[in-house]
Amino acid sequence: MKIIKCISLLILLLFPTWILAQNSKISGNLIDNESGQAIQNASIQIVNSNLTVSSNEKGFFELSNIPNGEQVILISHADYVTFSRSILVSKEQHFLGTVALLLKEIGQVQEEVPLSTISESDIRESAAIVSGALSASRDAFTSAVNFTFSGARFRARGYDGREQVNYLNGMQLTDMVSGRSMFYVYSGLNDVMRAREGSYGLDPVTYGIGGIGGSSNIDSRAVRQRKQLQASYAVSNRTYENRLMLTYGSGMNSKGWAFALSGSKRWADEGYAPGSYYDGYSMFAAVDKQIGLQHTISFIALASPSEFGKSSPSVQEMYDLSGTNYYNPNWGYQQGEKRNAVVNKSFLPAFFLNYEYRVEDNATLFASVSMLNGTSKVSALDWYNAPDPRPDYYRNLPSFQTDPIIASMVYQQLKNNEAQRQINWDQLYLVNYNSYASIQNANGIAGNTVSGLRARYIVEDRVTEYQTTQGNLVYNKTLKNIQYSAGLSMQMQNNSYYKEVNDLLGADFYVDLNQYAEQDFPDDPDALQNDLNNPNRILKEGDRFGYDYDAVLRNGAAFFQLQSQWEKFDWFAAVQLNQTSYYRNGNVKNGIFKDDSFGKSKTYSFTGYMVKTGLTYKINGRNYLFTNLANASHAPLFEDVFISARTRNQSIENPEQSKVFSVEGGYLLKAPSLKLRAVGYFTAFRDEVSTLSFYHEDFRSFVNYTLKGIDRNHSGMELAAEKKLYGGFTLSAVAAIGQYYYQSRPSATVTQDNNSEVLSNNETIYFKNLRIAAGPQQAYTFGVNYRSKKFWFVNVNFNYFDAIYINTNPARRTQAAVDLIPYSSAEWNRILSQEKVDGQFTVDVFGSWSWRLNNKFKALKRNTFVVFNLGINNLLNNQDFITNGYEQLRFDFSDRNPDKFDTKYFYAYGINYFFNITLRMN
Amino acid sequence: MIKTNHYFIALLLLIGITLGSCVKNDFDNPPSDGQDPAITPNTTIAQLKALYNGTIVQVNTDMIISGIVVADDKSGNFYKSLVLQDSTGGINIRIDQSDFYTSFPIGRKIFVKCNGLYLGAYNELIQLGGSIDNSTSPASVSYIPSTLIGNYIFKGVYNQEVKAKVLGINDISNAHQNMLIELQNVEFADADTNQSYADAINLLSANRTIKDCSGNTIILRTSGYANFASSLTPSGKGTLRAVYQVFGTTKQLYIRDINDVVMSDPRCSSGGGSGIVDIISVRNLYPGSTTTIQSNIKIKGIVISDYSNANIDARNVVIQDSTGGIVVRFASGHTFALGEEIEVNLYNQELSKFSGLLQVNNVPNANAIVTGSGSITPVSTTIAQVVANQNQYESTLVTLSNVSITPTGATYGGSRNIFDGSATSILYTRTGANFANNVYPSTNVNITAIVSYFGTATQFTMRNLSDVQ
Repeated sequence: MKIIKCISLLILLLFPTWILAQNSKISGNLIDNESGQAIQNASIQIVNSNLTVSSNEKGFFELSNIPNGEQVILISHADYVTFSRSILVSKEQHFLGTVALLLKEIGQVQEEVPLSTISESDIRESAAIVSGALSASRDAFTSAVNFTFSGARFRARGYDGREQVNYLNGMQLTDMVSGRSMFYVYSGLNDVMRAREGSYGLDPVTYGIGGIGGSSNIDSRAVRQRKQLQASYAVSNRTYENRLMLTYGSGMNSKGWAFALSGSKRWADEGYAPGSYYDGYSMFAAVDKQIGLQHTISFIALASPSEFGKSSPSVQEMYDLSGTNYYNPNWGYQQGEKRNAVVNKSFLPAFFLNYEYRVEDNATLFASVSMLNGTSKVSALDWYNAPDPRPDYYRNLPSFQTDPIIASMVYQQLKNNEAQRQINWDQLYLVNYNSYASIQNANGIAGNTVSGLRARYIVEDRVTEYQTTQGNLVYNKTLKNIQYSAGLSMQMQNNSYYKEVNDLLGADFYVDLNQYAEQDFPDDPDALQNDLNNPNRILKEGDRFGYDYDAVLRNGAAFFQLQSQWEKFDWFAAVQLNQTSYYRNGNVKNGIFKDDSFGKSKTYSFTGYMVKTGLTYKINGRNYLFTNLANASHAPLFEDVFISARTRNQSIENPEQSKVFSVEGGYLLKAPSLKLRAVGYFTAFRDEVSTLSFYHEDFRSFVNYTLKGIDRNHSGMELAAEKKLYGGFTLSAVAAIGQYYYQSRPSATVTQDNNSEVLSNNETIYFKNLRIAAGPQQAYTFGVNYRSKKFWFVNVNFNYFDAIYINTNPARRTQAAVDLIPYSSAEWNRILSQEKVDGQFTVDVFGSWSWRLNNKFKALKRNTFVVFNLGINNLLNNQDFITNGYEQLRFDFSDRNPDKFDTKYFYAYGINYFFNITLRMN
Repeated sequence: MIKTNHYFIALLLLIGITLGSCVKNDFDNPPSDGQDPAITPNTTIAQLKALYNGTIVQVNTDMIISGIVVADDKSGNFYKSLVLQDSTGGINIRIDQSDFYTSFPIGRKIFVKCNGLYLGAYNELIQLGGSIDNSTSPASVSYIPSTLIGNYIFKGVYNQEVKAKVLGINDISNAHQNMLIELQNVEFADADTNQSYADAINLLSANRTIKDCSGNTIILRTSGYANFASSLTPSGKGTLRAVYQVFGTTKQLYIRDINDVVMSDPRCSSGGGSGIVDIISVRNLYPGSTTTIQSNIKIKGIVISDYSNANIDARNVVIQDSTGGIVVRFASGHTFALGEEIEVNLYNQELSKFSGLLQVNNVPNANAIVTGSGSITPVSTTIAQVVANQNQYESTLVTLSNVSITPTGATYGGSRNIFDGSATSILYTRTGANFANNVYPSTNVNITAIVSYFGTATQFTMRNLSDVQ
């Protein structure tokens, strides 16, 4: 299939087009995108002609005697990313306006050496990550937030992922069920994802209204790809060990065609975490056709099929026993080979059809239709009436033993036997080999008996099928000093969630039954059926079982924005109205929830809004004061409204939208050699609802905590300074000092997947003034950059992270948790207090050297470069850096021992590197 | 041209990268287990248990026992408690592992290296465990931690059979602790029939009383967590297989699962309302003089008399069950044939003796119905035996071997002397019997007959000519 796709693209490329010819002038201004300074001595040329000029000290250029017809203008400068644009030359004078060029090296190198140590798997799990790779701004602050701080799981302003709205070729990357952006859709395609714009905080953009935390837009159309052939190979010790990448960009040819291809393979037999592995491919193809001056039609197809074995956090006790903070409970030996039980497999191809219509020189219409269909699976062990196979199960640990002698025996046993700290796959097979059983009335057929080895252990896949279609329309028009932006968008998403038998581990079949219900409803023979419509179903590998439901979601939005620039003031105002609706559709009839599991739920609809406005006062060309405000409503997420979507249609009562209010303001200095940023912000989230699900070993079931009435305050300061020194040195210092905390006492309703009984109703959770677990609330970096005139540079960052709080368990902040414990006693405080982990210091280094081969090998016709990039993170190998953690959601109500279900911690990687060699032919 | 070359290079490399494969993730299935380890037991379970002298003791020598698992936790009636038995006895091993049956199922041979383990007793139940549990008074032994089980317990072959030791209730002694035993001809006490084994809703254990036909009792205890806890106890009589344990001075039995209870025979005795009782229990009701049966009971048995050959009074029938036989004398003639199973309601009927032979007298014919058919295998015995145990044999079918009938060459009708080498008795044939005028063999024969009584002595009555072989 992939091959056919490539070949058809090739055929498309051979199509002929037309040419026109006559005579005219083109002029424009060049500025540095970052500083706003004029760019001198850039070369401006008309492709396929000998017409070339240079820009003057004001950045101005003018080209004359240009033949009429379609021409491609190419603007290049040693320090800047080459800019090209095609123009239909038809009148005497064309003014290109102000063209902002991107500084080449910092931008590129940061992309080629991913500094983030956060693995792809983390990104998928975390509710919070604002992808560092997305923002386009290059100032010291956003660069620190996006790159330097990301390895510490720093979250800008402590926001959740849903506060940042990200687009790829007009497709909103948001998964509507979780609110998170699906960055992994294009992983491994770094080469072709470079053309981006974005904003931080409440700054306006022109492709949408953005989020409270900012937004980004990647434009990966062929026309935005560099004209080059590039091959690179990287070695690393992070998520993957090797990366091969090949990218070709044709540039726009004289007939209005452009195309680009990219492919990569990333793999690791074992990644940084023991037992993890990676096997991922990425492919990308894009073709553009420019029709006349005004129309560009683009088609883009991409996919990143991948499979990787994950690592999961564990308790400190296991880290200590195994002697490493990177202990991974997910793997074990099977016949002497390492096998990972938690494997993510995904294939999510995306297709885009974009149409750009330059209505006039100052007006553009951008339309996009996109589709994302595919499957993502995460495997896990499942078991039926058999011992818990997870090696870090609390009952297996020394701390579970009350007798110190026995505890020390258990400690020694685990310490000295690696295999016992890991999954014992062979044992799982042996159990299955000896589990001969007969299932009566199998497959719901009376009298049908199926006999054989009934699996006690299996590997299951938790499958999510995505089916997303989006349409997006944005119109931008500039009239003198006012820019209008307006847009419409439509998002349709149908997700299906179900479990699938992945591996029977040597047994003949599994049965679609619910073990816990068997014990809990001894008088109800129906209760144990996961699907009453197909009782006692015999399962083979590949069969669906357990839960099976669809989430059907729709979203429509319209926005309008005005931006205006005056001599002393810039201002903008934007408003968006949106409508979200969704329902659940159950595909199985659960034996416990006979009336509430099968078929459609009620449809929930929410009409929401967002308003944003901002004002910038320009003291002079270098000093700015600004303030921005936003107010918005957030529809509650599907996964928060349905308290146990896996089993039933039941939702929280009267779901309502939450409210967000955000204000930011500060001072900016943009001088050529000194840049300063001092910003303060305050954001209030009100009336949020959140459903937390966790697996309860004793109930053998997911337990759901639905919290209502969550109020959060996020406030802080963002300071940055960057000073260029003589001799190629640049110093930078950045501080992000935040305070994110709960402002209310939410009420909790606790339910189980396996039982209709409500365990607790409207219980008060004493969360007020506890901190939000959002990575470090304080992050600091000091950087030294040296750039040689001989095409190399090196950058060293000294970082410090502090105010890292552990995610709190609501069950522990209830009256029941401290019942009968003396007020303010040590025990009382131990249960209620929130853990803050130690602040940590790290050092990162990265450098790059670009070598032009043409100087040495004169025979080379094209500009050919070899670029070496090396990034070393955590140079001092600090292996005690807890970046975040969470209290397990279970609480020991019998002994009230908060350590019984101990906190799980994530540790930042120790010293890690990424080395990349790129061969590039322009 | 150059461009086209680029395309091809790009395309080829892309295909190459795409099709290449580097990460391997196929895994071998492990071979199955089920062989004995290279471990030689050096101690019997009885020897191990003998170490316990009233206080907890830690095994500090390399004692190795081996045995067959006779109880696991599959049904939930045993929890974290494995019962192991060898030819000398049984022991309870406490392991901190739920669902351990997946590794140590009933019938699996296992080997236990006891060095380091603790031997103690919890309310007199001897246990082997991994540590001392001071929360009980006196202290008892606690579980072997899950992580350490593999250091002590080693798995061997599967599907080894342990023959349950057949005992009477009164024979059960401390030597049988943690052994699989079998009680025959027992039943749940009247109040405990058709009751749940335990309280599955509130997860509470329950005690049910098991009794034999002589009225001896023992407790059957079941956990509320057992998956059969809400099943109902049977009302019949039969066989019970269970593990014997104690709680202090209380003897109690635990079944492994519901298949250990096979009770479908008729119950022992009266008292069960309108229920069917054993014939022997009706016989035992006779106080020595004529009485009326006050309880609403029935007997059920196979007809062993043959009215069609007329060697019995036309109003009489002899029926027998597994416990004994009796004569039922109806108010008028009947047609219950040899081999029919009948049920007779005895409520308010007269139990009396006619010339020394016990009978239920003058029963309305409507009190009896045919419920099926069957056969009774005659018990081979001797005349001396029968005479010595008249009440046990009376009205049952017996076979006497090598019997001489005298005087020689006469016909059956009347009282004939019989002798089988052990004693003499009378073979009585009514003169109205169909075969009364037939001549009996002059050689020694085997005779099948109903044991009867007349006046002061035992006598035998044949049903038909086939009874003489």
